[in-house]
Amino acid sequence: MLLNQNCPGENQSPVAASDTSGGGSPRSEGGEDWTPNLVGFCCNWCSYAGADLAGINRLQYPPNLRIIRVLCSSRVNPMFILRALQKGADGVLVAGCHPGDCHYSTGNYYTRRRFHIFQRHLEFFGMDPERVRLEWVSAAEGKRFADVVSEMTEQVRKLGPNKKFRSNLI
Amino acid sequence: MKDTVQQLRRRSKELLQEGEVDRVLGWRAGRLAWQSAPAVAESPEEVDRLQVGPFSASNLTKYLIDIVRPEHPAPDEQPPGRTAVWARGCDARAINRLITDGVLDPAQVLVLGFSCPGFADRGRVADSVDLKSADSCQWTADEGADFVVRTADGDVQLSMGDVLADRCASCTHPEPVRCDEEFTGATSAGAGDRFAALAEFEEMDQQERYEYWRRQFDRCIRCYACRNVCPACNCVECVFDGDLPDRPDWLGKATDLSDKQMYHITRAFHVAGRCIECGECERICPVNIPLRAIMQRTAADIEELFSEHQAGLSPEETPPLQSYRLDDPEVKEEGST
Repeated sequence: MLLNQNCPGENQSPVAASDTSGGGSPRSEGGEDWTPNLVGFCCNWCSYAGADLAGINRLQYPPNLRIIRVLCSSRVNPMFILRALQKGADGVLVAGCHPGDCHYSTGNYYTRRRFHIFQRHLEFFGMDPERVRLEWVSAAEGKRFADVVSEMTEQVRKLGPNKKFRSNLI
Repeated sequence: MKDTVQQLRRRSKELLQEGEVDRVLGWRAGRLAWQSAPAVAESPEEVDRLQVGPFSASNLTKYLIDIVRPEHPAPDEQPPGRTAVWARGCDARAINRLITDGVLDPAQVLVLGFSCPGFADRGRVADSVDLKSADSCQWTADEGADFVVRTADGDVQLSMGDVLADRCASCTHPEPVRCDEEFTGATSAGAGDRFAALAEFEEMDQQERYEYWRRQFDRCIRCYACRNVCPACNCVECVFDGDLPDRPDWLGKATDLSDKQMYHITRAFHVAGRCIECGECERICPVNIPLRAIMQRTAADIEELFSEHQAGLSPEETPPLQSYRLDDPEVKEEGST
């Protein structure tokens, strides 16, 4: 979906749909009841399984995060993050295996360097760095996944809707 | 500087006569006094029009890519052979960049390095000379980097140190960092603060920075000149060239601020840790976006987070974003800075 602008399903896609929030409450931007749209890129081997475990354990966490599964956190091209922000995401989470635990041995070490520079880069252009987050969540850390999503949802909710870098054409 | 230019010409002629190289890449005088264009000499006679003037600012390495990897090769295309390049510090670093990136085979190039005199900023020269009436611009002495601008109203002598372009003032390597033959000479470049362009951002808060860059990027006409001139932007297929059937169109065709922002953020990130700090992007920009500041910010971040690093000093380097250390700092420990 992120890759193809002309995808027929675009209008129903969670990222582009800015009229409903995650909780299903009307998205009056900046209003009291507003909750953020978050996009999460989760690595297949740890974080996605961690999210799954959170579900299996019936842990409660805010429904604001839309998960996109990637094979490794280093698969996350920074342009994915920018495109999500362009299309109406209020925050982007990138989650991968803990350093040392990468399924491909070294992928997340590259992610860590790249993301660090990218986050600083966005900050230089005036973006709130809290909106773009990198977290390590293992397949056994369902609780941690729930905590991370809760914390990030709360943080971004306080920051309010993201207007920066957002496309006017959606 | 006159001396250095003579030496470069003499050696270039020898190389062409002996058949050591197939062509020599340098600069020639431009149409106007304050211009200078890249030029190729393929015979010893043509070498005479090569020169290094006070305005010979353009980085020559992108022309090397065209030579070794022509975009539309003719059916009977000959192998590119060997090219001699007149190279200052930034050219030599850019050549290292191409070698590191696998674009250029070191055997394909012969680097004739010379100490860079620094180059003149047109605006600063125009403060003391009416450039519209200028006929020519020439070095005054065998040594040193003073030059004289001949105008209809008489000659004006200028010292390079007074009219130096910003990027040359903050240059750390005016000497060619790696060359096959070196021609020494005067330099007035260098010794400046490498991160000088960052000072003005220290005062700004987040919202001010956003507004500042929004205004800058809003002017962008997406001509992609900053990409085309950049020695680090040497991909065969660029992510910004859409219209490929199996590739996503990352940027829309409409004039949208968000797409301009996306272009600039991504362009800068793609050359992060690989930028050789020549400042060509900023020089070439038709709407004067301060692109050098972005690259300085990234370079400063890399130095702070990972290791002391300046790209292009050696062809064997590993770019910092293509490597890692087990003890790299964690992102969240940083918090917001």
